[in-house]
Amino acid sequence: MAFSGALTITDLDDFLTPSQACIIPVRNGKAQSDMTDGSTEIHIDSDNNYYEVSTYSTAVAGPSNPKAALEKKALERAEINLNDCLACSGCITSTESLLITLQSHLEVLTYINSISSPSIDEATPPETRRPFLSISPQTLASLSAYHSALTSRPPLPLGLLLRRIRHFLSAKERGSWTVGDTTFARHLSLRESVQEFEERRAYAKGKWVDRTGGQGGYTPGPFPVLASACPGWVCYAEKAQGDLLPLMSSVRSSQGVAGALVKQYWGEKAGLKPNEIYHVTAMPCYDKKLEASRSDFYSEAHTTRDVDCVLTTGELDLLLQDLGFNPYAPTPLDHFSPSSSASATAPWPDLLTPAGTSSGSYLHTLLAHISASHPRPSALHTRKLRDSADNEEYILYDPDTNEVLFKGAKVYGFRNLQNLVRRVGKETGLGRGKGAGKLGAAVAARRKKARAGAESSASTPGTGATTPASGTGADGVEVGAELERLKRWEEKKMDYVEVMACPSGCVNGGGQMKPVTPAAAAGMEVDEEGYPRPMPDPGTDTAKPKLGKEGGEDGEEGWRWSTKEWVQRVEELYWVGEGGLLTPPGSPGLTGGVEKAREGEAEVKADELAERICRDVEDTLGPQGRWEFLRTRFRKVEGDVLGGEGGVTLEAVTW
Amino acid sequence: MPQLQLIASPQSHAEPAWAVAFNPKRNLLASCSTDKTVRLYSYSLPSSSKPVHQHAFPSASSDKPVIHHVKTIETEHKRTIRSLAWAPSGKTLATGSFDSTVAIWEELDGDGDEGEEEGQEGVYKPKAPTKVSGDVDMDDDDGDEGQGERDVKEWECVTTLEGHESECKTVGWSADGALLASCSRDKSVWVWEVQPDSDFECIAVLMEHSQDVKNLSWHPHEEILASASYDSHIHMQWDDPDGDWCIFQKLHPKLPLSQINIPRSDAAASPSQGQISAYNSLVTALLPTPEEREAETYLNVPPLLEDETVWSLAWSPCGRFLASGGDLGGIRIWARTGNNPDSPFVEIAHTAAHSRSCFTLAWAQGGTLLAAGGLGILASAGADGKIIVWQITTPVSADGAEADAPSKKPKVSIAPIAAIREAHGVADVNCVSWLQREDGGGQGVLASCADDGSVKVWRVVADAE
Repeated sequence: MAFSGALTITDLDDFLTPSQACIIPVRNGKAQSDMTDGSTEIHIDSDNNYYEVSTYSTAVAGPSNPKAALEKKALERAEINLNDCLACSGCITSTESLLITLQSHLEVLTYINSISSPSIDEATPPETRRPFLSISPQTLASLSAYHSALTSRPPLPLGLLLRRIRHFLSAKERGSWTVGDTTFARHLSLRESVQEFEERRAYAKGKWVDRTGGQGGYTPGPFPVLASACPGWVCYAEKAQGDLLPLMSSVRSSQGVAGALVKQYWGEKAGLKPNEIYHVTAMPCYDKKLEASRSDFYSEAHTTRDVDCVLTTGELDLLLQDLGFNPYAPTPLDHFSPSSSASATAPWPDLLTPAGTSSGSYLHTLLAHISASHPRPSALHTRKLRDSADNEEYILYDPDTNEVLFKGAKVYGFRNLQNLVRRVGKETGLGRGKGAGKLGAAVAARRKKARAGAESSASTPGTGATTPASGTGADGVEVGAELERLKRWEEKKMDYVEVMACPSGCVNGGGQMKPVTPAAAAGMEVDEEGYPRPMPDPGTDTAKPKLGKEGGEDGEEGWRWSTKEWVQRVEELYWVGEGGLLTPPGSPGLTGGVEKAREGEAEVKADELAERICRDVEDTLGPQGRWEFLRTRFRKVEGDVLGGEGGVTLEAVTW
Repeated sequence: MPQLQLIASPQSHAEPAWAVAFNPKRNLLASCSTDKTVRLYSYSLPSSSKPVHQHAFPSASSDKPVIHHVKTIETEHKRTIRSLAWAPSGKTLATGSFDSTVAIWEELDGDGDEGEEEGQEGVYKPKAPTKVSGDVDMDDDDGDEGQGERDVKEWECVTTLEGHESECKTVGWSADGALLASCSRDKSVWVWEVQPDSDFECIAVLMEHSQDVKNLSWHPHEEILASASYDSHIHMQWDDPDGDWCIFQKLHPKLPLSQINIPRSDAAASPSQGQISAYNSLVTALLPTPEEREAETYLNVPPLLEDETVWSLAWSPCGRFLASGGDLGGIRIWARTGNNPDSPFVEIAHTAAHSRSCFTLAWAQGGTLLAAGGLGILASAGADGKIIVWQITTPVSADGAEADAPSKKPKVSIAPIAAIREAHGVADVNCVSWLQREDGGGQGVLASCADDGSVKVWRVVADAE
């Protein structure tokens, strides 16, 4: 599974791995061997160099051929880099392990050491890059929850925690870091998502104008737009659902935009070339490391990536702990006014948290946009599918005309994602749709008949909750009209889906802090990621059957429940703004026509800044440059190893 | 002393046959194979097949059921079909393939003139007024029930379930047919909910096994799913009322092996020739031959210390016990220790059974009466080519009630009652499946299939021929 949430990096022995052999070493410039005889041995010298030595020559040709006895050919070292791995659908687990060693808090520590005490060693050039840290809001929420639980103290508001990290890392001996969060980048990403949505609408109506003059080779994709901010989902889609890629939003994720923003925009303002900046991000998920390694985020000209190193929340915490950070120690930045946060130390506005979801509010931003651009009042109907907050449908409609303005969904977690894939495949005809497409006439006829029967007895779909936003409501609508409305809701195809691979979304990312266990609080032995070691044997609980839900911490259940509550806690903290003010997540009032007025001063300023940046970028780089700044592309990863079609390369194997 | 009697060996698959299953409602048997086909066989039971009492086995000389091949479904699976399962309705068939997909099959509706009103399912149809010509095996038409299926129509793949990343190993329907589960080498167990219009919605992806998931088995009447893996664990899963599908217990085999408990010959009580020869054949089948003993002494392999793969699972008909078959050939019995859906299970027995991996288990009603503590008959088979039938019983107290309260650790006895060597020649036996009908007919009829592509049907008979 390509999902960070399901992976434990500490358990990498995976007998599946060899089934899809890595062919990169085989492909790499296989030089013609001049040793025509098959029998050779590989020798390894004391420096770990590999040599191919012909044994045949010495044994058979003997002393008559003295040259052969000395024949010793240094073997080329096979190198597999990240891009090779990204281009292969093979050993996902090993890819992950590679990433962890390439982008770890140790790398950042090495950087800090080299910048604070320049090496005397002539061989290594002195570290001159300026460091920049972008922290995701989910990371801050997780750290806040963790340290609160660990020390039994009240949780720190995210803004305060951010400023304390900023102050701590800005010290000269730690490298004079510039520290920002990724919400302003997300703000740009959200604005661009709205623009992309409108582009797709225009394209569908044949009214789209390519402002880049065809340079970019880009055409807006079809509906529904599938959010692409989650790298786990992107990874899965590219490997297993290649046919759905045209639907993926082309907008860069918040990390992607942050990369461009830091290296291209902030760097320019600070007089630095992209390769003169060391950009580190702190993310809730391991797959963000994969995302940062994508070729779109690499600058050939400057041989540098937009994001040089991605740390997970857990790794950022390890780094800060190694450096001696105490989140509860007051700093001079504590009472910084949030309104003037775009000062010398903060590169851009801190912690813009649009109402909606803790995974970025992509869907809610579009809902607000569609609602605001509709001339009449609109109403929002939401329904949870299967009573799960991870699978929710949003229907925005005009209560007067019953016109469905927008139908979206948030779909989190691998299981819901599977159903999304099936559903979208059915709606759009995309996807592999094997069996379904080849239905026999008789089966199709039977289904049609069954459907006709079902429709006559149609009832309210699911456990819906209609929230009239403003103006005339849905009161006293007669049953016929209600049925008509439901029919329209059902018939309307999906416009946008906020897809996240992790259940509960990014607050529950695989790289987040794990719940504080009594062991960790008591300072028991922990592994490199802060989990208690040794891990309990998953099989030993047969010996002492659990007593029930209250069965304590040692049982599976105790763990499960605390995890659920833990994610809930992080989610709550995500919404705690400056001074402990709650930003209501996805409040129903959101879609009212008056929404604009509720936006705070910070948002207005952020909008102005965003506007200015986009203009600046377009002025200097042109429309295509602007596109590259904010957008990206997705590629189907072919079953490279065996040349299979799409993900399942095994199909090519005869068994 | 009962015995296994071969009653049919219908036409073989071209390549290894992996699974067999009797349709729960219709007189059909299905088998699947590496040749990417599903073969359907019709069976008809003799009129004398009604047992004397519910659990008695027929006499060896009584009329035999008749089985013949009626249809071959050429599937679109790209690789081996590893498993198949009939929905409880008998109308739908699921196949799980090494191409990572699960396919759902339904029989096409009648061609308009007859199928509609009558219903295609024809459960225990009354005798057809006219004989179908050219049907070679209709010589037993005097039966008043359980006639063979004559008009098996085309079967069509109505949907394909994708999601597994590698070989699907087992598929299974829940007791009421509302859920379908599949497991795979990708270490995951998926649960699908059956929707109208042959649609399926994924409701759970359980990824807690650390290795290949070999087998799964649904509880006979509750929504509890057991899965067995190469990681040597059995996971017990359910739909937590307070949450999602999750594991409520991970079972890890621990009990040491105990020797096969061959029951004393009851020939002394009724010393008939048949009894003695049946007993002798059982002993011969179960005990190693001199050659095998000799080979063993030469090899002298120390017992493996590491955990063993769990290959197979089977629930007792009552749902209180679960049997598992291991890589070393032993069979373990697990008992539920409470009355809650997620009551924990404990390992209560581990008996030597096969000399190599126990690939398959099937547990059905039969044999010793329930009142006498009978828990049914368990069939096992595996890489050693043997098929063994076990009588499972639990001690009962004088008043007929089970001696143990369910909360305590129940006791069971596992006694072999019939066994056969080289059931499919030298080939590994991959699957066994009991015929189980609502009317109790055909008790003790067992199908098996093997690596050589052969499918055989056996029955447990009360005595030797």
